Amino acid sequence: MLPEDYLVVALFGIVAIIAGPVAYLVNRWFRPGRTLPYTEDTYECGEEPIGSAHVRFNFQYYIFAIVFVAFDVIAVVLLLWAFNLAEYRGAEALFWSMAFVLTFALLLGGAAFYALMKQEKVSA
Amino acid sequence: MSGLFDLGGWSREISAFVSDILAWLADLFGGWIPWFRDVANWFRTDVVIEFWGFVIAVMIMLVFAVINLLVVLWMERKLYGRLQDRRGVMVPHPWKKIHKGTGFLQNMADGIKLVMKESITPRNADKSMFHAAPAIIFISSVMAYAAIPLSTTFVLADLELGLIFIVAMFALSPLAVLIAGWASGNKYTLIGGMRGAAQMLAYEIPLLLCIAGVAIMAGSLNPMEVVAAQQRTSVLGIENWYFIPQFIGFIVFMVAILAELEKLPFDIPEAESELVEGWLTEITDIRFGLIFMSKWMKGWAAAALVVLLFFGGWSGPFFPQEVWFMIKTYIVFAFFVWIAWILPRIRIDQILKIGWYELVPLSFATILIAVALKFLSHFGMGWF
Repeated sequence: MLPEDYLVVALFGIVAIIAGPVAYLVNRWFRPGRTLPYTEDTYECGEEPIGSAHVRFNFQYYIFAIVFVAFDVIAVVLLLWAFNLAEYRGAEALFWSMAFVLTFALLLGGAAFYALMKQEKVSA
Repeated sequence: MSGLFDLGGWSREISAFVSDILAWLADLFGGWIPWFRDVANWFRTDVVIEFWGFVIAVMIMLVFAVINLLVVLWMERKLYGRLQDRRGVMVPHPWKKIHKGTGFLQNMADGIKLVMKESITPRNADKSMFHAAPAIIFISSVMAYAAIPLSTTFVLADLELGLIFIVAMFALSPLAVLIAGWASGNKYTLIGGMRGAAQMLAYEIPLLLCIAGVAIMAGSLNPMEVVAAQQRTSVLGIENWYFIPQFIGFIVFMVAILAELEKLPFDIPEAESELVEGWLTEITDIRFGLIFMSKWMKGWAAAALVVLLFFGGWSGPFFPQEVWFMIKTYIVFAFFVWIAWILPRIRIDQILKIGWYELVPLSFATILIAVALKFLSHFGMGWF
């Protein structure tokens, strides 16, 4: 089931991957080729660029990136559980699977929310 | 109603027809060129017919994607023209003095113009990554079309995990935004790329959780089965479109998908008034064109996702499935345009606040609602 289903997707991907470079190539044939001394300068609103942009950048939202990982795990578990939901036959099996998944989600979600609340207190 | 276009079946028939022509040619010339008959026989084997059928289906889907892109682009430009009290794109007719309907050509003219534009690669740019990023964005946006079904028959790949596949393709493009922002070697692009990454962190979780809520109710991640689940009648005696039981999820999903598309209230990575053109500042020529194209390709794909998840996909009376699906997606897309052009841009800390402190808790609520409805329905007491 799997290889046949994804064969079309792979073909589609190959065509899409070819399309980008082909567009670049067509552009190479048609575009004007003149370059002026300042054409390749970094754009900085007409001023001469000061310094490099490849610097250490203060990514202010670091705590969100950490919390994102926790939430991502919840999302993956919930999606996989939803995918296999038909496997749980009978009310009891359904109830226990729901209880386990929700407990897991609420535990991890609670921890993540605690981190977010703390972040808000620190930044405020 | 059933579907009009049977993509897989028709492609296979075209492929078989071509192989018949080849067989006829082989009979004609087989006497003179001995190996020709072998080649023709190879072309007539089932595996080869199947393979070329797939290739033809892929080509049909790509042609659909491009034509649909032109329509969607024209629609957006006309609509926001009207919202700004203008008539929108118009091109004078070459010889008659009319303007009606010719605005459609403007997008093609823009495409040709972008092909002929000068290409500028900044001296300070990380060249390979700078050129790779637009291609990554284009590929990921086109790939989403592989898993979107337009009807029960017009579908390229009927995947068990279709919804996850579409969202995964959507989630690739913020990565390319970050790459382009860093590789351009420009301060504006750097800030734009970082904003893109922060924004992605904020909306990705609500998006996934809303899909999980729908998947719990439908019991599947296959878009076809999600639509089939919505066609079952509910307690109200009408079709059970999920925007009624999952109303909170629907609202959260709409907000998150607008952020995904970088449409105006959430176009913080671009922010023309602060960052020149954001992460796109240094990108010129057809690279800009590819990004521009993939933005609207993604726009329609997002509208299709909303229709599949919440508006019953292609279900509707009288008309064929594809017609209903296109009508619904264009209405949802028009809604996107309307929202985008009447609201001002919000700040980066505001989208983080909205994402983390409002959308995430609400999407947890949708999961709880979905689980409760599923559990009740097991005892015949539920919504569906």
